[in-house]
This record gives sequence, C-alpha cells and structure tokens, in this order.
Amino acid sequence: MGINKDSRHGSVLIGIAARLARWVMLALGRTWKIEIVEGREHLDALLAEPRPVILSFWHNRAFTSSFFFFDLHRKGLLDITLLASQSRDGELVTRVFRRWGIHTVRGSASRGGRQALRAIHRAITRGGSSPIMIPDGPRGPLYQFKVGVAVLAQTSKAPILPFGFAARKYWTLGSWDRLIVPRPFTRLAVTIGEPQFVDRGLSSEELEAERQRLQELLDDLTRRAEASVGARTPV
Amino acid sequence: MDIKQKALEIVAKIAGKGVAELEPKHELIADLGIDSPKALQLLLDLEDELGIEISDDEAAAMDTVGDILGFLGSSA
Repeated sequence: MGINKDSRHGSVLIGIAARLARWVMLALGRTWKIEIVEGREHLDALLAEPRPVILSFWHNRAFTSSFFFFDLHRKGLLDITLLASQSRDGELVTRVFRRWGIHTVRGSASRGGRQALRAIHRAITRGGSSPIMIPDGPRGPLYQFKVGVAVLAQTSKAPILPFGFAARKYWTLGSWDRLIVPRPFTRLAVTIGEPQFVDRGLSSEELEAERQRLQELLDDLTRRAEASVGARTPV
Repeated sequence: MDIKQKALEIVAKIAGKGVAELEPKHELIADLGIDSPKALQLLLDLEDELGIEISDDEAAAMDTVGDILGFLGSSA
C-alpha cells in the first residue's frame, strides 16, 4: 500500500514536471530564431514526398531540437515517433510529447531493447512514421554512435536523416551529456545531411565501419552548425 | 530442410558461430552476444526466412536457443 502511495506520488510529480517542461519548451522555443543553415533541400525533399526516415542527432541537442521537430509534427508535415527509456526521465519525455500527439515507444538498448526496436521497426515499416533515434542515448558514452540505429536503418530500409543543432547562447545542465538549453531569443542553427541508407548485406566489420562513418558525419554536421553561430561543443 | 535446422543456421549466422557450436541451453545475450540490434535482426530473419510470425510476448520469452526451438516445435 505504501508502495502504491509512493508510486502515485511519483506519478503526480512527473505529471507536474511534464507540464512545466512543456511550458518552458514552448515559452523558450517561441523566442528562438531557428535557421536551417545547410541541407534544407533534404528536408524539403522529405516534406514534398513524405516517407519514413530515422531522425538522428546527439543526445545533448534533444532540448535544442525539440521545438524544431514539434513544429514539423504540429503542422502535420512529419509523423514522428519517439523512443524514450524506461526510466523516470523516459516517463517524463513520454508525458511531455504525448500531450502533443507524438507517439512514444518505451525501451532502450539496455532495458526492453528488443521489444522497443521491434516496435520502432513496425512504426517505420507498417505505420510509415519517422522515429527520432538518438544514437548516443540514453546514457552515452557522449557522441558515440551506437550500432542499433544503423541496424534499424538496415532492417527497415529507411534512411537515417542526420541533423546538427547548435545554439549561439545556451546553458548546459550537469547531466552526463551536458544537455544544452538555448537561452531566450538566441539564434539556433540547424544542419541537415543527406539521407543515409545502410545496406542490409554488410558484414559485421563493414557495419562497424558504417557506424564510425555515421558518427563522424553527425560530429561534422554538429560542428558546422556550431561554427555558423560561433558556438563551441560543450565537453 | 528442417525448420529447426534452418533456425539454428540463422542463429549461428547472427551470433557469428558455427551451427555445431550451438546448444539449447545457450543464452542469446550472455552466451552468444546477441544484443538488442542483433536480436532485431534475428527475429526479422526468423520471420522472413521461415515464413512465420513471432508476437512480442513470444519474442520476449526467447532467452535461449532452446526457447527458439521450443517455440518452433509448438508453432509447427
């Protein structure tokens, strides 16, 4: 009974935190000056002929990217599915985005990963949805592209659409990933790379090489976004 | 070819081992290193190549090579 009471209490707290997070996200997001500085043609091509893609960027850009993707989803331009961990952080993320109609799948590479990857795979192949897959999530190592995202691209035949995000002025949180929170009215730069298809017939060595290439690509896009607003990578 | 033999070949390919090395008691994660991405490949290959469908509950119950063979035995 005590556990149930604690659980209810925790659920209420997460609900309050989710409401607060939505409010902060909208209040801040509406003040940001978001500019696609590179690769707009890749997004335009996707919006002109919608098809599932795997949206990828580094974990500490999750807040920075949130308003950008929320706006695309809200305008009906892109159907997005989100992978959220089974932790309390994941519950918070789920509640924040569920309110905005963004479907979430719970799980990670460490917990519930098999089912979560299958659910994401189905969301792509049967639902035609585009998942946000953060390749260094949910707990790092920071800026390390995990092979699961490449395998998802292989098996679903959906390309990875890589993004770099950077804010000119921002705060960093003390989390493992040094999460970036852009300051009000700051400039946000977005870089978008070419869609990346991953061949299903790769050997394990070739897949590892592909993983490294994708990691370098995401690093490069992020650095170019940072350069365009004069920001530096938080480490 | 026997469906269980074919399944063993698929498991062996994903695990990077020979079919003869596999034992029913082998755990997919601990003994064969089949992590979540490899498990996704394994499930999709089993479905595609054996022409079967595996539900989430059935997939979640597959912890060992024997579990996979048992599932194929019961679904045959």
